[in-house]
Amino acid sequence: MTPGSIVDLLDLDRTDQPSAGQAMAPQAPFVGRPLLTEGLVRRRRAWGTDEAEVLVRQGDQVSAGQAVARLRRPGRATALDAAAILGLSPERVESSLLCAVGDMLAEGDVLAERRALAGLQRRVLRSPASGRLSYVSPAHGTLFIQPQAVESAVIAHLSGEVVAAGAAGVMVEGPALSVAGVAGAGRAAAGKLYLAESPTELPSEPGGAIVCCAFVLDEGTVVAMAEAGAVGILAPGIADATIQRLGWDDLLWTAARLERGERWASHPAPPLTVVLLASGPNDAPSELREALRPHAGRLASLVGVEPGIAPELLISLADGLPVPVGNAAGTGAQRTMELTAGTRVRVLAGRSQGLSGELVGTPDSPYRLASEIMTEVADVRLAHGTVIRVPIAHLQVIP
Amino acid sequence: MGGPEAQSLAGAPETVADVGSEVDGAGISRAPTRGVEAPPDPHLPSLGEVESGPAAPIHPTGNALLAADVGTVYTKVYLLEDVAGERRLVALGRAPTLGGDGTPAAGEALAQALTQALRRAGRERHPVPEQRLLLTSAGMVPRLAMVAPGGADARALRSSLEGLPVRLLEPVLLEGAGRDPEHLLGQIEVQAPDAVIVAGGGRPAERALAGAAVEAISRGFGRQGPLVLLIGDAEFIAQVSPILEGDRAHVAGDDPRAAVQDLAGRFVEERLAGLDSASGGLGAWSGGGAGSSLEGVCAATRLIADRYDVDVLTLDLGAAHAMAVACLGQSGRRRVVVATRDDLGLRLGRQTILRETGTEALSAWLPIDVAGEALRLDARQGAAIPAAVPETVDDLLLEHAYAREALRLLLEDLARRLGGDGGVTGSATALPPIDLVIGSGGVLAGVPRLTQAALILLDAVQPDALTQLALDRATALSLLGSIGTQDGPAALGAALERDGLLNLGLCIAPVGAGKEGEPAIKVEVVYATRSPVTVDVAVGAIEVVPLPIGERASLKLWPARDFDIGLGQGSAATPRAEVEGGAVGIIVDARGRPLALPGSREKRQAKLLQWLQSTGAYPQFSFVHHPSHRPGEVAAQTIGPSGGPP
Repeated sequence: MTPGSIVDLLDLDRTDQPSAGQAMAPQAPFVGRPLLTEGLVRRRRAWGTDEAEVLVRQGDQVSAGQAVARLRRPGRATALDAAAILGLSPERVESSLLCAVGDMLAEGDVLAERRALAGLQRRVLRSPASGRLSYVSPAHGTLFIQPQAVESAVIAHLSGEVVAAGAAGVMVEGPALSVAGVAGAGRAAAGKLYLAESPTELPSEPGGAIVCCAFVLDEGTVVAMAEAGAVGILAPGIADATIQRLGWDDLLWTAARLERGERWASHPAPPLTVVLLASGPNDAPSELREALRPHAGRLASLVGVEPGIAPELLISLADGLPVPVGNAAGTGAQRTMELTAGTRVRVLAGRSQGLSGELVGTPDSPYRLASEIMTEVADVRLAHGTVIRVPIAHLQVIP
Repeated sequence: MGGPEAQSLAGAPETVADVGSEVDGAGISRAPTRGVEAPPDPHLPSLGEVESGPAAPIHPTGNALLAADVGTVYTKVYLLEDVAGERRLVALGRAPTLGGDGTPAAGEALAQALTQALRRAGRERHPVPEQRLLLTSAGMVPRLAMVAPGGADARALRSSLEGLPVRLLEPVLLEGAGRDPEHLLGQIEVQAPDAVIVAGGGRPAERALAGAAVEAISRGFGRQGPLVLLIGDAEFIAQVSPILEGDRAHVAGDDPRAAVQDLAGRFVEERLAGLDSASGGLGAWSGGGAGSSLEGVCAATRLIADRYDVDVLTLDLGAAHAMAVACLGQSGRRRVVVATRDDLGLRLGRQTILRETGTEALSAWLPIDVAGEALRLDARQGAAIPAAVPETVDDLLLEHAYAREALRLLLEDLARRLGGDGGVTGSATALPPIDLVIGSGGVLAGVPRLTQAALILLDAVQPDALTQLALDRATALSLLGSIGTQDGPAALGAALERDGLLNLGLCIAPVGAGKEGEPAIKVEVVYATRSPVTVDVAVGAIEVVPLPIGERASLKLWPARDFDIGLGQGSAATPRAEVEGGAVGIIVDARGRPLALPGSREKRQAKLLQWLQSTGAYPQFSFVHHPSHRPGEVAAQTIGPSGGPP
């Protein structure tokens, strides 16, 4: 072989004149995340830079809702330029204080008072926040009030065995049914699984529960479930108007920010953990209903956005339910998938988003779309018999 | 050098000095096509398993190099080998970076991309070259906050870092509101930087202010806070270093540029570890070292500017980032200015683009009506399914509208940095004349018709007079830059450069004012082997004159009385040197500067259609266009029994 131009390197279509269209770069094999995965899985529980106390050891058996680590986030201290406010030199600030380093303060507490001009002028320094007086700077006269640290627990998310535990994270392995989301918000939350076919079937007492909706998420459902104490909602899709009304555009797509590698920013917290199975107003595929129905009432765990884990619902099968053979993802992530005729798929993106059907076949060579982009495609037969051709990158195996 | 068809950038710079600038462009040799590749092997080799096989027709030498670039959406593997005494890009493979569980799995992606690259090279196995190179662009735009005593210090700091691919956030000035420690902490908290650069200033009072700022950052954020980079004299460093705990302080002394580069290197290591937390096997790819793709693109821009002694602007539009690199000025005194955004990528950044530009600005680039709801749905889809591809021409036009607006935002940022204040006050200036504009990144490299990439670049940059356009068709610019940095410019042979860069053609853009439809410029193209062609281009029009790769022609330009092509209004020009052909040809852009689109929707859409049709940029587009289908309502292409249309 002799190397030629970049056109050859990329296996581009050379039949046209250059200006008349050349196809896009190399084809990629199908790498996808199935909607439903049942089998032995591993999940990493990580906590970034937060201070953590690891509560489990390698070999421990854990339940999905059990805490594997306790996090302590001190939060940012409030800084107060006491020297400037009191009109003192920095070194005199500490001696003017009415409290000492280490004291707990409430918002509005008097920290210092200075009288001048024989008592005619009085300056009072009050604490702008509650917390502990953590430091008084002798060099700059600044006070730092440290808020109470926020403590939170990292739950196992998956019932099974702890196969690794360290200062940076814990790996849990166990049999589970996983439902893959494409967007989400909120940390892992575990609770009893409720299924609701329509808004009228929402549980009346969902306290501590995860509610799986078979309908497009609406504002009323979110508000009702959050107020009633549900810990999470899984929904097949959401309408633009709902996102607009809830102001959730900055909330639901934070996975993109994680992809960009944000190291330090904290993300806004939703009232409860939310996972969406599509970015548009899609309905739930029938396979999802069928897969979840036998698990109603069982313990489930929902993750919206966390480092090292994609949005998902996980139903642990460690407590006696048989693990199906032949559909196991393996303990590592199954990377490539074979798209064989008859595989059930749904379309996550593009013109056919929301449709689902059965795979008829995948042409051997890349196909030129109406946009003239060359890409690998699959033919999918819809329920009413129509066959559509869809970019493989838009497909999700149900299966 | 290649054969007789090869287009050279490597020879002596050819000039068109008569019209003000020296212009040349990257060409590319063309060879017979190969067939479509076989499906990928499901049994992926790891790097250690790749062995020499009998089928390899080329025997790699010491010049062989295996390079990889781990991106946010795709991971690419490049195979470079000696061919006829020159290092060439032999094959590349690509695989999604995300694994089957939706989290990054770079190790597996690399193995899969390697398999694909080997198949494209026509072999099953391959000896592992001694030289390896690992790059990443995923999450690789360090966000840097700046704390400086005053505006002059902030400008000096920004100026010293202007050539680095980092995102410099608005400076907090200690002579102003930043003197209040609570204000300072609040600003930094909002900016959420990866690191804070604190400049100590020159005077004792400034050092005291900076010391107070360091103390506030240390005490305010505690161990959860960002890294702090200290810049100043020895006295300042000695004074404030003890305030910072453990490894949170980096001392830059008086060389902030080197310190930030070190910091960026540390981020690369951290990021790569995060991209392959499952296997931890990326070390074998790099042989222990790794670099930033963005730095590679910057280095390539510098190398190209030096080699051809031209002013170069590279626009790199990735899935998760956007970067503009301007390399301007005379040899030896060249100024490199970089504007980088980590939130303007064409996939993960669509929501930011939409939010910052608005639906009206995006719609202005579309010859069709698209509802605001559809734009928002599309933006969310970009974040949720970043590997999605445009299916229809409407989808493609929308993607390219996003590209234009992302580049416009980026170039505004670049123009501010090029301004005298280094971008501190936010005042923008126009871009200086550019000789060569290079498009890079997945969206531009993947356009179905190369004219689309040329138009996107022209609409974003709006260059005057004569400008050469090139495209990083193989998304290998970062690789070329890294090789050139590591092994010296000589390591980048002309052939390798051609493998990476595709010459799109020359743009002729007369500047002036006139009535729509009146003559703007007459261009005569005198070919070497066929009859000359003369085109008259009217005000408000854009035309493409064919001059394919491999051909040369001389030009004669007659701008109309009120138009200028570099020698003054109405002055004719004849470039001294012949112009090389490009994949698009010669583009005569008389649409005006700045490009003004008609205000009314109907007129604007008609004008856009006229431009798209005159350049043949998109498939035939009906004036009676049916509105787009809403996602989810209608299926894609319906297939007949034979696999074609029904």
